[in-house]
Amino acid sequence: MATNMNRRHLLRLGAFAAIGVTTGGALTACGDGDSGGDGVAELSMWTFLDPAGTDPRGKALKEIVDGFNASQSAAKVTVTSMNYAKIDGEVIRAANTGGGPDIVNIYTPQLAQHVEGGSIQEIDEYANDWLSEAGADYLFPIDSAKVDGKLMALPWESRVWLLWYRKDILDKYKVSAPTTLDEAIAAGAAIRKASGNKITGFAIGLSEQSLGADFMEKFDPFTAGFGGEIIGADGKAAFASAAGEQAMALIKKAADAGAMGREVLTMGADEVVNGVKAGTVAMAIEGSYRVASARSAEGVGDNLVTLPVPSTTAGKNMPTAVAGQTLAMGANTDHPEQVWAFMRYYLSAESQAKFAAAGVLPVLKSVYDSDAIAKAANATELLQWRDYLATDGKVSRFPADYSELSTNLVKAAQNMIFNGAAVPAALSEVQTQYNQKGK
Amino acid sequence: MTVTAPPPVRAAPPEAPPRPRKGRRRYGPVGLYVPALVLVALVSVIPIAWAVRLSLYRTRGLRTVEFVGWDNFATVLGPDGWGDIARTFAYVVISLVVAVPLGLGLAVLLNKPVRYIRAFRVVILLPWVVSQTVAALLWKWLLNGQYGPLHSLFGGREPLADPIGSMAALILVNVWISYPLATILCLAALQTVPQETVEASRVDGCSPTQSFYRIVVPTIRSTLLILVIMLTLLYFNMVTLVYTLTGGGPFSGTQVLSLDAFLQSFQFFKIGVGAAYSVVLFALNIVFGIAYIRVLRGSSDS
Repeated sequence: MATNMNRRHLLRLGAFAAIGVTTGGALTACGDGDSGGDGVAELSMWTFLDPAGTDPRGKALKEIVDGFNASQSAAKVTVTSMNYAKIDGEVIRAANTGGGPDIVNIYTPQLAQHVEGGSIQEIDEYANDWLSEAGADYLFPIDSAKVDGKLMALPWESRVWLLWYRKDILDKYKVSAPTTLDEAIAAGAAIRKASGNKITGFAIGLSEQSLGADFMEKFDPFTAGFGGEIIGADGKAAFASAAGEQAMALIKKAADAGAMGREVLTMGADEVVNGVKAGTVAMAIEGSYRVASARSAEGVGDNLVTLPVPSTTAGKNMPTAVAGQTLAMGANTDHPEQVWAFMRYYLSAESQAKFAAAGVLPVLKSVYDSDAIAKAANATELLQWRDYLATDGKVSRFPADYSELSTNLVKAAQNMIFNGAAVPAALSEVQTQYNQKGK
Repeated sequence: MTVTAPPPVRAAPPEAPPRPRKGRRRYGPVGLYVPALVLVALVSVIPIAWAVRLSLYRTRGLRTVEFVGWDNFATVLGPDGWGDIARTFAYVVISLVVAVPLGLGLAVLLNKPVRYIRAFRVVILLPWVVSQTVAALLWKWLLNGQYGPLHSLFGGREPLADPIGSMAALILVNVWISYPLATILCLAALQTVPQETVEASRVDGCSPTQSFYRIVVPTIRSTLLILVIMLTLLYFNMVTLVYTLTGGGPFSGTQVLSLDAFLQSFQFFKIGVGAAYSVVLFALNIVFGIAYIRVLRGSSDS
């Protein structure tokens, strides 16, 4: 009898639990809708910037989001910050399970991967009118945000890659500032030798970590500088060319001359920048977006000098890649109109000026004429970067499998630079492998 | 007159408890473990079956596009793949060979009644509370050839810039974060070994070493087996440490299967190829698990 009672109890409890779970699920589902009861669309934005962090760009983001939320009553944006190495995977996974953010920050080379992953949607429908009015104000062609001819995102940040050098280190070793890449390599070799290999004279990160990004950020513009390209107009790899070989030979020369040693095999962009901050790297080619952060390190400040990357010929610059951060519309958003309104707000002159004050290179030409830029502490430098981008900016193609290609290329580069693998053969092997996979 | 005696009244047999109905008797116990089976199916069996299915497809993003049969396994078991498998074995086996005896040795020491034993236990078990990411970043700094505190030990060379040095460093850090688990399990097992048996062996003329190998080790054999299985699974499937410490390099010197599975799935978004790597890893885990259990059974029988 007691057993039966218990069993009944159990069954009853199970039934209640099932009802509870179902009801709870339904209630949760109701609450999960991203429209508040007051008709305000709740928009989620996923980005690598942290509004609560110390990065000046995160603080600018917070001001912009607060400004947008206060400016209207139709939508409210909430920011979720994620590590930049994880955000793309998280967004694609979330979108494929029917969720994901309404607004997502994407770095240009990752755009095609997001399109293939189905995590974002095209915005031509919303952007065409705005672009016909404001598009000419873009500093560079907006093509970098198009995939298969469709506009997938709005670039809000641009960046240039610059020659960085620590003036105090060059002075210490009595080396003058370089005017060509060959001089930079020679100066780097002299510093490394004089420091007993404690200082890397000229660093290019060759680690596979971060998908070989630091290497690709040099190999791509160097190849362009010699008249070639990584991915051709037909979507096939085209770096196993005379230009690609010259670019690789130039990087190899830095190692052969002694400007960098095997320590660069453990370096990605973060390690190179940390080395510049710590004084263990004298020269490097790094992005404009990292300058403010590097200068804020103890003992760096104005000792960090930046120049457009010189070519191997005096008086000429290497091209710089046109890449940067963009805002895209999540594939599963229920509020595309409000998302577009936020994207426009993000691209307004006021928002761009806020980012400029945080050391970000604005994408709109008109912003450079604003008071905010004129009053910026690094106004001269910002204008110099803008001119470099306008003159020598080069739009590259970033296919969906760019991450895999860059990882394979940096592995090949390690062998070419430090293991004596023949440059033409190694480049051809990676190119053939890539093009065969793409068939 | 004949008196007929009434038939003796037989005591009524005690009332038998109601027999459960046949169906209830058969399915009742089954019903009790159905929830557990459903749970295991949800968190284990279905994902594994799904991974096997994915491994047979070409994928785009996270969606299956086309059935390709064993094509994805051709990548895993191709010329580069065998190198990765060999490195995975080296990484797992060497780590085990170092971590298990180290853990056992430390457990024996920590089992001794000495002063400040609690303090020693805390210090020795400390690496266990360090996350793999923190451990990787810590050792990256320690081993940095330019400013790392240990760089002078390597004559200014950077272990992480060399494929063999990099694998050695990876194994070192792996052992560093996992030996406390071995130590704890061995210590717990050692405390169950009857002291009288050990003492009896000593009275019978065993040396301390003989007592250890002939009495203590056989007594804790099942714990050692569980430890070896746990560590093997842990090492085969380890991604975070490898990804953060070496990223698989340099010269692919630390490219192991678990890292391949992660990179293909979540960096290159070739989830089909990533699933193929995972299936191979799963098979290796099963093979090793069965092999260990057979070894244990074999030694129990003998």
